[in-house]
Amino acid sequence: MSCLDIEQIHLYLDGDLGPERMSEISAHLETCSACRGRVERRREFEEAARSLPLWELPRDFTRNLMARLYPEQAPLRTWLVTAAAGVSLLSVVLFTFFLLTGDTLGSLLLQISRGIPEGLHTVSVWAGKGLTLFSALVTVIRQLGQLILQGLGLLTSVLNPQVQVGLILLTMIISAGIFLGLRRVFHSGDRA
Amino acid sequence: MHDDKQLVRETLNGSKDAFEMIINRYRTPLFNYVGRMVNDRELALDLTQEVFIKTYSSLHQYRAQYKFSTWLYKIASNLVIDMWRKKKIDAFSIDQVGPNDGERISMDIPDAEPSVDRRFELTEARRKIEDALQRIPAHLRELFVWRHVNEFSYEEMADIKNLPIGTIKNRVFQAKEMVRRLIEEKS
Repeated sequence: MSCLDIEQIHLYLDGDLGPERMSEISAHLETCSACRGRVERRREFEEAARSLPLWELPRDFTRNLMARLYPEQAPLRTWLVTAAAGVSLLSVVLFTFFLLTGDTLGSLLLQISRGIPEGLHTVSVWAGKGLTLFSALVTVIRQLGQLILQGLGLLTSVLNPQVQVGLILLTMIISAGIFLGLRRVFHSGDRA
Repeated sequence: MHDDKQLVRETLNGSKDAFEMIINRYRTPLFNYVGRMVNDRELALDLTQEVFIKTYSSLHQYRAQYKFSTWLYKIASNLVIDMWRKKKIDAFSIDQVGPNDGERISMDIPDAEPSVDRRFELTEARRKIEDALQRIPAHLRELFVWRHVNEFSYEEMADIKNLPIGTIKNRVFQAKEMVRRLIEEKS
């Protein structure tokens, strides 16, 4: 058998020849060091070429692409995050107000409507208290808001919108339950 | 595990998750193909996104008798060609006909003498291959990448390019020999 040409070498390395031809070439390679060397060098080249390092994509590639393909997702998520942050912030404000005064905003408005001078006095007292605590409260609320936004951002990237709405509703119900429960406790304390 | 055709059907029926699975399945091999064709990471990222967007908008044209990956890479290959045409990149058109098409390979690169044949370390060999790849004609580089990075069969490549298998094999061998020659010349 004559020495191998380049095409035969590549076909041999690919295993792309019939079994008979593969055996003939294998037998030839045992006796021909020149062909054996040429095959070996190409085998090494193949090994390196087949293990070229992969280029890595950014982690947010799929998320960004899905946002381009389904643009309605982004406004929905933004809306949900904003609404949830707003509800959370309002809950914190109402809760703080309740803890400070033992009363609700609704009853405060009722008192004001019943007697403006008395109401003004009450409001000024509360405003004094409120101003004292305002700066501390702002810091706490800001940090809390950031935590909530981060948490919600993570949540919205993982969960689908229906589950997100369900979770927000559940959180609101639990918050309302805690609020009403604490209110009852405080009121029983007042009566005692 | 969902097969591609099932995912295409589900996407056409409105499932976002199904198309997300298609993206996750093909993003890395596609990015590696496009990346090596344009040799620019940012441009490759944009083009890879474009491939998926084009695929998504053309999904209703996909015919299930064809392999989905073949169809996807055909879109990718056309987008790479379009990008080069728009940028008027002259060198080595990707769809040009190779000089040896239809002929047996006559390019026999003389091997280095065994005494000087260095068994360089694999990492170094890979780096040299990457470097040499950027200097061979694009229509050969494309086949080299499909064969060695994307691990396509000759049949799959022939389907993507609409060329006979013999022509594809000839070009792949030609690409390998050219890369080897460039490495040898530089050493």
